[in-house]
Amino acid sequence: MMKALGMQIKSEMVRTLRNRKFVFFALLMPLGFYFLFVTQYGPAMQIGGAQWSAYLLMSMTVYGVLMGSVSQLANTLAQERKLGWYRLLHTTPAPAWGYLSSKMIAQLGINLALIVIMFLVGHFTENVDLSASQWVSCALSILFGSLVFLSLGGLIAVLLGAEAAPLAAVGIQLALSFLGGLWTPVQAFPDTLRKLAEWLPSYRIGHVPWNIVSGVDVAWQDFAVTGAYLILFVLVWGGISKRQEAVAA
Amino acid sequence: MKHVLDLQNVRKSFGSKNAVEDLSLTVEPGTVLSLLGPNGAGKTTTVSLMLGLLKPTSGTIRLLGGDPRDARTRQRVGAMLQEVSAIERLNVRETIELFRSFYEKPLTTDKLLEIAGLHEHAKTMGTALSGGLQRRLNFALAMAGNPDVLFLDEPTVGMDVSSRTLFWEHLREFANQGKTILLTTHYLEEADAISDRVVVIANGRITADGTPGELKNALGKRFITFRAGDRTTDALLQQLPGVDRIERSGRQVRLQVSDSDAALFAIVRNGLDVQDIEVKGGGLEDVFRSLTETGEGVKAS
Repeated sequence: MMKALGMQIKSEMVRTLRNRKFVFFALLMPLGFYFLFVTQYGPAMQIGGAQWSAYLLMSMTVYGVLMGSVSQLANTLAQERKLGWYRLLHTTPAPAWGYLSSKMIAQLGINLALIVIMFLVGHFTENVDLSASQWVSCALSILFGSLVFLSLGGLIAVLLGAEAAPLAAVGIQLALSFLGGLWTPVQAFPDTLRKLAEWLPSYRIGHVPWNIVSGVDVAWQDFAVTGAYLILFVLVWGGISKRQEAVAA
Repeated sequence: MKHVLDLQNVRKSFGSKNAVEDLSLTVEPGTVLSLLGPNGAGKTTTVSLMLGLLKPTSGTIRLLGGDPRDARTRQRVGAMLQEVSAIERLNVRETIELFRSFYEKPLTTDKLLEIAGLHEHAKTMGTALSGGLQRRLNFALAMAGNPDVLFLDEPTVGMDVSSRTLFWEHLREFANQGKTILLTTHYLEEADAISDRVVVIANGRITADGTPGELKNALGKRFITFRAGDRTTDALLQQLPGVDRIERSGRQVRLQVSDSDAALFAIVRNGLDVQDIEVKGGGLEDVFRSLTETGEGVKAS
């Protein structure tokens, strides 16, 4: 059983990394935006007590993880259901929970790799200088936040199916990135937009590392809102897929 | 002997529609059983029930003496389902290795590539394979765990002739090892050639069950066809012995006969004005046609 789970995780990782769209949207695009925006405003600009090059590095890392997680899970889950692959797996002795958990674990592993690459690039090209504990806590908070994006992907898959899920995932990702202040910091937003941002998971997941690089205490509200979204997405996702499976059986 | 498969009074309904009605069936080890029936007869539903992919509305299903959903049962079962495409971004070898990891005693990857005839495509992405080759990959996946029971739902649809020949060759080899095969197919000559038991399903019920030979003897119809001259009227043809039915299409006449010899002798003896006489039938095709025609008749009433 562990052998099966290990192979499933490995296969999922290989499949994600072979996906050119994934590599482009989750890694190359955030890196490109990072260099573009750093140069545009100058790395030394101060924003909310942080250096712009460090602040933006966190924004773009969250953005990459967001772009990778939602689409990846939404598309593969919906596709594999449609193509009968999911049904075929159910004829094998591999445990039913293994399918989803291997995807989640693989994606978390890849997200961690994305975070590490972004941080290394930021450190060595733009001299972003943080303490070891700052780097680690930023990485862990973004990794935890990516669980929200993954469960959102799962929810989109069961809600919309293979035809509509890919486009919806892209639209939702872009909206969450922009409205959550990942491209333009919320400090530059009009008041109403800023109030809205505070209710979005993308803003809250970014807000934790933004605070960390600013040397400000992390706000408990960030974890409350992020956690609430995670629970909501998982419950609705689980509820819908249970109902769909009951109908199908 | 213990049954490989044991279905007792299985019923499955989707909403108000009954897909399978009161199906009871036992299968001995080493049997090659073909499940035949027209589209919508309930074949795929039956296979899905046997595999534990669907829950019966009522009745019991035992596979290898256990619950079809049990992982221990599934260790010994392989399945080739309809309309399953290859997974994206894994090549043939990787897909096979993924499936092998699910089983305790899998066949080697080389053996699986060989029986699927996919050695030269081992590094091809599964989704880049043609439809026929994807079916072969699905066969390799079904065989991955070296199963004792193999379920094949329309296995040869989409395969070209050479794929099909290879496929039946390996299946025969598999059957000769005393393993059990349950297949559904549209190709009756295939069912006829490979199976030792044929079960016909129409409207979710079993309408016939026996060896291909028994079914052909009991239900096979024979036909005499010829081109009729002007003087050969239906009235004349009806007087022939053993004629059940007359079909005409222009000058071409097809007689459905219960005794082809008697009818043929009478045609010759009476000197009927006919040409190009042929005697056909007695195949599983006709058994199937006669059974499903009555099946549709039941549905219409």
